[in-house]
Amino acid sequence: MSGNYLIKLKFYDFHLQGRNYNSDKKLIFEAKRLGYSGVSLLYSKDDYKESKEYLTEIENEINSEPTMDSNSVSNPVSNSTYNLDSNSDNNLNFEKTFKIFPGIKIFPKNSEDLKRQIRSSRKKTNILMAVGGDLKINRAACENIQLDILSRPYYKRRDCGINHVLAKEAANNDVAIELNICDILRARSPIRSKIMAHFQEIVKLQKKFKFPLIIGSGAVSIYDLRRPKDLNALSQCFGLSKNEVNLAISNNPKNIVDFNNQRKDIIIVGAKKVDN
Amino acid sequence: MITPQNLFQHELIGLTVEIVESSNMGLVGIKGKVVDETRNTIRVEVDDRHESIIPKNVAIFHFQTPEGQKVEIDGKILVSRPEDRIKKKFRKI
Repeated sequence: MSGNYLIKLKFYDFHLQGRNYNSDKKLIFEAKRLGYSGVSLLYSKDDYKESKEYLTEIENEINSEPTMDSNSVSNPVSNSTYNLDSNSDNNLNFEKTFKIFPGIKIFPKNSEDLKRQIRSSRKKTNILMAVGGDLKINRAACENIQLDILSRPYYKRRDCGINHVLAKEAANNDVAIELNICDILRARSPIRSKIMAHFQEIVKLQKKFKFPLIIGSGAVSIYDLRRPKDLNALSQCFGLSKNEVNLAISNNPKNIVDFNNQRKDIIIVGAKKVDN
Repeated sequence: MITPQNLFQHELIGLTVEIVESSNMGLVGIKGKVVDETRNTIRVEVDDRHESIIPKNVAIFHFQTPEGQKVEIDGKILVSRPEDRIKKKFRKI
C-alpha cells in the first residue's frame, strides 16, 4: 500500500515582500509558475491601502489567463498535485484559481509598540505578521491572540528565540511561527549553519507543543522563490517529515485565512454568530 | 435584553437550544427549550413528556435569541453557575 496514491494539495507562500506594482506582479506570476495556489504579499501599514487596489487587478489578470497544459514544454515543473512517493513531475494538474492575500508586516520596537500596532492594524487586514528577534517581543507576540504569524524569532540572536514557555503560549493562541527560507539562501556558511540549527530547535519545539509552523520564502525578487518540492526537500534537513512540511506550506496558511474570514462573527473564544 | 454579545453571560432558561456537536453522539440533534441549569448541565425540554439533561463540557450548542439570531457556543465556556458567569472574564479575540 505504500504509495501510488496522489495527494492533492494547494501550496501557499505566506511571506513575499511587496514593494511596487511591477515587482509584485513578477513575483506573483513566478509563484504561480512554480506551483503555488496562493501567495501573501506583505506591506508596511502605510503602503497597504494602495497596494491592495492593484493586487486585485493583478489577481483578476492572473486568473483570466488560460490555464496551461501539464505537458507544456515552457512550463514543465509544478504543481499543486504531485506524487509524494516517486517525486515525479508526470502527474501534474494546474490550479485554476490563484489567490492573493495582502497582509501587513509590523516591525515593533518593543512589546508595548507591538500591542499598539496590532490593535491598530488588526481590523484592516486578514494577515498580520510581526517580525521577532527580541525575546520580549517574541513573548508578547506569542501571547497575543490577535496576531497571525511571528516571523523570524531567531533574528540577530544566538538562540532560536523560542523556548518551551513561548511554544505553549503560541499553541494556545494559534500564533504561527515562520521559518524564513531566505535567511538560509542569503547567509554565508557559518551563519547559515547557525540558522539551520535554530530551525532545528524550533522544529523540535513544534513537535512537542504543536504550535502552527509556516515556511515562507521571504522573497524580494523572483530569484528568491523556490518550488514547493524544493522546500519539502530542504525542510527535511532540519527534521521535518514530508507530511509536516505539507502542513506548513499548505494547511496552516489555509487555516489562518479561514479563521480570519470568520473573525468578524466570533464574539469571544468559544462563541460565534451563526447564519440562520 | 439578550443579544449575541451577552448571551454567554446571560440566563439561559427559556432559550431554544440545539446540540450540534458532542463527544456523546446520542446527544447530537436534541432540540428544545432550556428549563433548568446547574453548574455542569442544562435540562432541555424536548417535548411535553420528555426532558434531557445535557452535560455542558462535552457539547457545542446553538442558542437562539428571542429575536431569532443564532449563536454557536462551546459548552466549555458555559461551565459555571449562572450567577457566577456574570462576573467571569472571557477571552476576547
